[in-house]
Amino acid sequence: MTDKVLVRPTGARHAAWYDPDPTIPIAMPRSGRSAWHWLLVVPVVLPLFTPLYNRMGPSLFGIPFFYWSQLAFSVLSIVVTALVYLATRGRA
Amino acid sequence: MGKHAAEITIFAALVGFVLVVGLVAARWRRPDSMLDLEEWGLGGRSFGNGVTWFLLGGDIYTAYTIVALPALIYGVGAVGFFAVPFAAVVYPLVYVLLTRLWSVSHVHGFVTPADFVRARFGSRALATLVAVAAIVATMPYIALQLIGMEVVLKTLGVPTEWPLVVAFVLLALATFRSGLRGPALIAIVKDLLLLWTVLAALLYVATIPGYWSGIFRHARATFEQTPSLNDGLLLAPSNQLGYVTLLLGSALALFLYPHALTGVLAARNRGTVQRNLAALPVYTLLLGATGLLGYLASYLNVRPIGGDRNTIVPALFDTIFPAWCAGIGYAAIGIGALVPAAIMSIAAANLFTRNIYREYIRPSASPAQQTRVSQVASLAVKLGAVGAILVLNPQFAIDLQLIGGVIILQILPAVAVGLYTRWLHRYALVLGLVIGLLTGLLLLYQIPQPGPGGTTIRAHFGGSSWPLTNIGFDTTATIYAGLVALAVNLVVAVITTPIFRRRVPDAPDTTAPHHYFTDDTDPTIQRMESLVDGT
Repeated sequence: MTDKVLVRPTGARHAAWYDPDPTIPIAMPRSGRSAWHWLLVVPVVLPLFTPLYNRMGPSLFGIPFFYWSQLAFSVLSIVVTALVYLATRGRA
Repeated sequence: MGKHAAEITIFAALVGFVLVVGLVAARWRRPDSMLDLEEWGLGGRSFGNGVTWFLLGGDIYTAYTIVALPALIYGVGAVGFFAVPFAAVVYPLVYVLLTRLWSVSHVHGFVTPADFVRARFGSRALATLVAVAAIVATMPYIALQLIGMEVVLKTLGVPTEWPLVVAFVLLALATFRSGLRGPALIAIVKDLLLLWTVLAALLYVATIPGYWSGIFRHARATFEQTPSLNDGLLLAPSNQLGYVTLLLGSALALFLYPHALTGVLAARNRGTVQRNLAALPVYTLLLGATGLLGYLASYLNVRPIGGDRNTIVPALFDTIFPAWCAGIGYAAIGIGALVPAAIMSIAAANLFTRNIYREYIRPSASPAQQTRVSQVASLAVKLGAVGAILVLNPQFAIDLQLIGGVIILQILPAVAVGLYTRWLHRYALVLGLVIGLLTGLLLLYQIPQPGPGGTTIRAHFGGSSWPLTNIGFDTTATIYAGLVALAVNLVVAVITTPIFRRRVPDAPDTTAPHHYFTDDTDPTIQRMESLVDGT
């Protein structure tokens, strides 16, 4: 490891990137942890309680609650995950 | 043949078209050299939002899913619907994990999950076990895709053998040449065809008097006539534990499969992974709509062909669509088999090359040599799958796939828990994995397949729902065997970790905490090929 290069890479090209000189002060990446991530628990845990949705009514377009509510869980996943993404974007 | 001439023509033309696309895909974003595993096996880690979306969609919503889910709902009703909440739960579940995995893989040039385990725990034995478990779990999955193709051919009334062989040999050649770029391009065509087909079927429902309510009323009446207590529009009390554990277990397993991880690692940056995980549940809506077509088939008195319940969807298309539209639907299923089969064979080949060939046979293999080995291995995997389907009973592939799901879950402690912490000792992980595997196999062995009227079709390997009567509960409730095996695996790993740690010090971890958060534009990014390659 004699070469000391510090280059901004343009992508995942596999030219070897060497360790930068440890004496050069570099900005440490932020931790990437965020309390927002706990929000993801909601769409994961909700579908695990079958008594919540194991029922016929109210139906939607003639589709029993059991079916459309579980389809709605995927909409919930989209909304929550998108929210978490937008809230944590740019933080690492 | 006469009756299906138009359908066969459209099906053959579309499948032929995508195979040509697959062959020329090698020229798409042509790399300096294809003889590099990151180019051939991961598309140069360059896929943006759109391509990643289609690639993961093609990976997860496979031909077998499209065929088997409606068939299951047609047969047993609510219990079969588990695939829908599973495909809603899985993305928020893995959001943080996969972002971490993408970063650390990008920094270190990992191509497989076993590459990561090797670097994280410094254990060759553990990495090999993970690689072997992943390969074994993936192989029957490929064979399963062939079944998806087979039921379409059956419905068309053409011989199933030679068209299957021709399609897969061409696919094998396309994959050999283009690597992951092939299925990535084909997946776009597949999704457009599938979207068209599902929308057309929903349009058909709109022409039925009473729309869905008539269909569900009919399904309810049908289930009430059957003697079985396990079918119906809702879950029976004894089915609920089985339903939840199966959906959770499937969700935990999905992104441990090497082909799903391949799609993730091929993404360009963290944002691409995260945006896709937020948007992929859109497919789940499509999947749910497809599932409900099982009830539509029941309403229209569509009968499966030759008693094979899996032909219900193609038979339904044949009933409700004009020939040209049915042809498109068949092509969607057929191509839906080719895409995941290609990605799975690439993922299995990469595991073999990186974690077996380079580890044990030829440690000094150059990138070009590794790629050659992967190309040949992917060829062998696909031809093996065709051979297996032609020689063995297709039911065998379905049984093996059930076992595969239980097997793949056992790598969770090393891969998924490993992404967060390396507290678990490598020996404890090996022990947990082995005991988890044995437990899983034992549980599956104890599961009989019930037939109509209280009879038993088979005494062993009859499904993945383990009856709780085995441990003395007086109930008909079942639990997903894979989740029990995983729990045993985790308990063993946690309990034995302190014991092993006292005797054997931890091996060095070549990943650093900030590697799990690096993005492609991060100025501090370092590609640590030297560490991975051991040079």
